[in-house]
Amino acid sequence: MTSKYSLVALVMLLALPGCATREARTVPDGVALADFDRRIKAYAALRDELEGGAGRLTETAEPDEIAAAERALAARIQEARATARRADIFTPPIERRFRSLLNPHLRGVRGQNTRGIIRDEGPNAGGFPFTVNGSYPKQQPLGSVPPDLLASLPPLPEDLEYRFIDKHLILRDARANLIVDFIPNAIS
Amino acid sequence: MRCLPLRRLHAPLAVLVAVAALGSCAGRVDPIEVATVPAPEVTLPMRPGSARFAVLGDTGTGGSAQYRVAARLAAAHSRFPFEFVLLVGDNLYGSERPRDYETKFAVPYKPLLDAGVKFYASLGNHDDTNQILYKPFNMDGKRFYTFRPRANLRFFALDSNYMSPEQLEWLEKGLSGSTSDWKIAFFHHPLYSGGRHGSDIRLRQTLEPLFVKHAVDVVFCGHEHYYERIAPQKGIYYFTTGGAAKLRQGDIDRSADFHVAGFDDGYHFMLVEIDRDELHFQVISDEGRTVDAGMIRRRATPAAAS
Ligand SMILES: [Fe+2]
Repeated sequence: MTSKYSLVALVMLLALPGCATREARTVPDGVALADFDRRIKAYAALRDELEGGAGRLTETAEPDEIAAAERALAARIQEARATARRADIFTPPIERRFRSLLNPHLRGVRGQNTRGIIRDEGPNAGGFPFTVNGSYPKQQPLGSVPPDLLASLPPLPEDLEYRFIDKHLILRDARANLIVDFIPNAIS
Repeated sequence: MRCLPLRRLHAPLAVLVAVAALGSCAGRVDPIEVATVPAPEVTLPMRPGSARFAVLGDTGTGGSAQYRVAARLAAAHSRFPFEFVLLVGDNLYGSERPRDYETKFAVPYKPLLDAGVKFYASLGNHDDTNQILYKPFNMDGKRFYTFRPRANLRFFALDSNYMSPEQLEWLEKGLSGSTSDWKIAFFHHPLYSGGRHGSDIRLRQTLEPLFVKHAVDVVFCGHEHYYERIAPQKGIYYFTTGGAAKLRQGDIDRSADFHVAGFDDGYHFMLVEIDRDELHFQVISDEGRTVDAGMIRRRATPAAAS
């Protein structure tokens, strides 16, 4: 029971999003980052709890088992977050803070280099259609993220990562291969 | 059509049948008579007790070139029995269904796997991160890891797609705590490259100071679909070896000041032998021709690659 209630609480927490919309310009940066930390940890806790039921997969020589475990976890998350939508995690104040963190990496020659690295054998220009709570297509490459840019973004719980699909910054759950949320045109 | 149960077949026959069968299963591989691929001439010193391994890059196409290189490598193993293979990323191109692990890895390298050769993989930009769970890649469920096959030899496998502060902290700790004579790093994106992707300057700015500070000796990378040997940079030797299944002919910019040797006319693999303070390397094409070879002496004495 406790587990069910905590799941509901976590899902509700993740559904808090939109309330921050009108505060976008007034929330201090530190508060926005603390809120991001809370939201992303809530997601990770939900994911870990959902995975607990299935048992976390360890190394195996059977690719079928890897695929099955990933699919099962993704299905549970998708079900638990059935109402998830963009900006559940990257709320407007958080998005604004992220854009200011990305900005120094996007100016002048450095900016050209940043874009070059991100697009170098990453998803093709224009990317591909994707949605919150949808899978990252396996046939698509996972473009690199410049190390210094990565260092300037807030840390993430285990197996969550920042990636780019064309100009868009996505939060990817590497274990479930799901797109958790995204910031459109983050490096445009 | 149902694919054949490959694991139950005798190794060379299995590969032959598998390749033929894959023509139907995967729809793009031509049969190759693996058993007839002659072993290339191997000129490494082959000293008793030396550490021996191979390096492959950008392997996972499941195409005929991958199978051809794999067959030549297996033939080379009969003359130069290496213990393990480093994979420098792009282990599975395109789809990553369970059967892709077979057609793009387990089948082409079956003779080596059956012979007990271990593969140690690193992730490329075409690799799903859950490859870390695939036991035959020996990644210990981690994106970056280290292993020490001999007391004098330590490897660091890095995820150059995602060089997070956490990974850098781990690397610094691992390098500073290593007492091995040889420290060798391998990962996907080259820090120095005369190819179409070019040098990854931002990655270089991040990694090179650590490599220099903690005396990394050699770095193996892929991503560029050819072979390139770089002039020692701050005492470190860099090799790009990304042509084990894909090839970009004529892609090397030989005018780059760091360029020493290269091969972009065919597919290739690398053989490496380490004996005390010497690292010997030999690069062999899919046709069995040696396209580069030399020796590196560990930094204690002045470095020299011939
Ligand atoms: Fe690559």
